[in-house]
Amino acid sequence: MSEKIKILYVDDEENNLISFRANFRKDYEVLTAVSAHDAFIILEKEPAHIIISDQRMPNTTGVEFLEKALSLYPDSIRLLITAHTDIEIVIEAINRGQITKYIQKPWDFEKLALAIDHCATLYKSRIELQLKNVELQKANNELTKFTYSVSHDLRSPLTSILGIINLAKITPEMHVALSYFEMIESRVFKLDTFIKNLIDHSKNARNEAINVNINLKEFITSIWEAYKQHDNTINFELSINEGHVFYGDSLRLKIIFENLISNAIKYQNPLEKNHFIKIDILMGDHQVHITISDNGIGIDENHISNIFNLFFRTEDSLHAEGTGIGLYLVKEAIAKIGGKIEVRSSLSQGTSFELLIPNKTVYE
Amino acid sequence: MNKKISIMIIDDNRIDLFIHHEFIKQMNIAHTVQEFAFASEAIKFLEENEASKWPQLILLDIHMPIMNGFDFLEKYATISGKLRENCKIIIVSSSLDVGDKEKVKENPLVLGLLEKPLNTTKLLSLLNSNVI
Repeated sequence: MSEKIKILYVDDEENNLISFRANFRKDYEVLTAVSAHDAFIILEKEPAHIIISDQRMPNTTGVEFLEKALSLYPDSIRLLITAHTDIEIVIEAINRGQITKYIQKPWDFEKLALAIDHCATLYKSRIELQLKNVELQKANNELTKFTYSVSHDLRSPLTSILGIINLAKITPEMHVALSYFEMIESRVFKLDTFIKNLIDHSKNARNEAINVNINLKEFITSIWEAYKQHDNTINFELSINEGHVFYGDSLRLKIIFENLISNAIKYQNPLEKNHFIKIDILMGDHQVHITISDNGIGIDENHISNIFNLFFRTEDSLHAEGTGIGLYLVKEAIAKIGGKIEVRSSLSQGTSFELLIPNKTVYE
Repeated sequence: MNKKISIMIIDDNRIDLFIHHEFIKQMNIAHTVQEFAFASEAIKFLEENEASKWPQLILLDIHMPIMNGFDFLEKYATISGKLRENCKIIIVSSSLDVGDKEKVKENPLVLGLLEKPLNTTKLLSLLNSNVI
């Protein structure tokens, strides 16, 4: 919490308000009111974090005011100031107004300052706790959604395979049954890709970035070589400016380039004769600018804002057996190394990803 | 089993479409089988066709991107009841959590729920008591 703690002090004696303001306005934002009635008007506009009230006031007592303030502003921290050490009043204030501190009048600056400081700390930690709770709730909801989708994506290839096996058992013609193996194979590949993605996801979430010296040209080319074995109908071009040393996290870079390159291979435009992936690398001392473009099927502009979301799939990605996790992994990996990614695409023209990746080379 | 029926299969996975189609062939219960990889296209077909073109049975997958099985059921419910009169829906899914199963059971449009891989005996017994 960076904003100043806001204190509302309520007392029917104006002199007290003036001296309070003079004493505390340096460290806190101070609001004052001469009655409970005025106090609620102020609170409505500016909900104070700490509410301090005198007990003896005409019309409404401090206890009555704090009790109502509790019901309207339950997050506030409340204090009672009273001249008479009347134990009954203090008990009432604790039970009905749930006050945190009780201060004796006339107050002494040191003591009051200490009490307010304590209340401010209490308020901040209370708010922090609330924020943490909201975050946790969100993380928990995401986890539930994640588990649900994951269990489906793990199970569905297996049920397909079981279905094919059941079918094969009742198929008397051997050559027909043999053709089922291809279907089984495609489902096994899909499951395998999905499991690899999950492993990447967990590695990415768990480990901090480790920066090592990487020759980007060799690094990316070797990833391309691995994919080329599945599909060599696509032309690969890589350009890089020489003369720079690059340090970066090889795990994240691998996740990023594997997914972007395999997507370019998966989503080729069947109407196009010369398929290409073009990677341009512009190295700098502090960051590297990389453009990966293809002349594939492109992405519909209605979908482009969603492509980095977990389990988002377009109709095209269904045909290409996408898992809906690849670009999400790319986004997570980029975030982990402090980079940026942007995408531009037009349908049946191609897609271009622009990456800014920090160069972690340390210059003496 | 007395008469053959027309069946529509909706599943985003082409291999599952194939498997279900083959099983139906083996069971010898259908004169027509239609496959849809997108629920949205299935809805479009139903909206644009008169009762005589309608299937008597829809096998519906739940986990599908863009329009999932529940979205399909919502859209389906808005089609005139007269058209839906002779058409039954069976959910076929590989994984449903408890909440989803409850949702499916509560839906009056749904005849039953079968797990993948499709079990022909179970499908037949569901049909025998309700459709054929």
